[in-house]
Amino acid sequence: MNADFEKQLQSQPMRELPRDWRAEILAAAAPRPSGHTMNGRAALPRRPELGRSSSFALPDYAISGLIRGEGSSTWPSLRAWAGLAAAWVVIFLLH
Amino acid sequence: MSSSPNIERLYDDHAPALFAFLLNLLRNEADTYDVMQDLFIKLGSRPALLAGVRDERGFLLRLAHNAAIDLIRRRGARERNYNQLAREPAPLFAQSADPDERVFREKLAEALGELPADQRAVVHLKLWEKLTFEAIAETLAIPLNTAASRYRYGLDKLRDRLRPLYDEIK
Repeated sequence: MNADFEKQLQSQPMRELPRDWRAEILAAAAPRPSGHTMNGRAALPRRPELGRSSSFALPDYAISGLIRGEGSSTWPSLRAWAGLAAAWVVIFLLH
Repeated sequence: MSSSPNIERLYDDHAPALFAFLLNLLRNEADTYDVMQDLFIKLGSRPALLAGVRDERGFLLRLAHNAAIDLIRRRGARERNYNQLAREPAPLFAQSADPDERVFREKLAEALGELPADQRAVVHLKLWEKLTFEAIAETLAIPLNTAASRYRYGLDKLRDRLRPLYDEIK
């Protein structure tokens, strides 16, 4: 029974790999000149139209970049933080 | 810019197996695409990764498994936050013209989806990659006995779930 059942499961063919993925993935995997992309990933094609699990979440590269402290180009900019700090300094001096 | 011949060979040799394994684990085509793309980018940018690797397929399955588990953990947190559990899973098996086969494959995909990811990974590698328990243990970095017991538990659940259909089409 067990062996028959296993054979029955094994005989079910998995879905085929979509053919158009080959060109896209190999193009993304091709070596790029340094500085061409942010963290080597930002310019890569993604496939949100296929039913990504969360449309509200930050992109994975942004999350991993923030965790590594590399998020300055994806999160409020340095200029904004500097402006906020300057405003506090002015408020402190006036006070 | 064209990819290196070695990456193309790796893709042609292993991408179908990686696709089936990742789709079974992740149940989402976009996530499967992203993990595969990241994997091949890593291989393209660090060719030395494969230097000295005896079993390319096992090594790539291990990288894919680690990336998938990482994504499942992050996705789990996101789904709890955004209450997006009710997603339509991607079809896992090839279409069949035979209605009985078609129903069996749908139910099998559902039953696999109900297994914990660690059991599903072992069941997939044993049944569809035809790996030995030793190879599965090495690929998933788990003890041999754990691989065997996860397979047994997983298969028992599948059999219980599919028994009526299986008896019918046998």
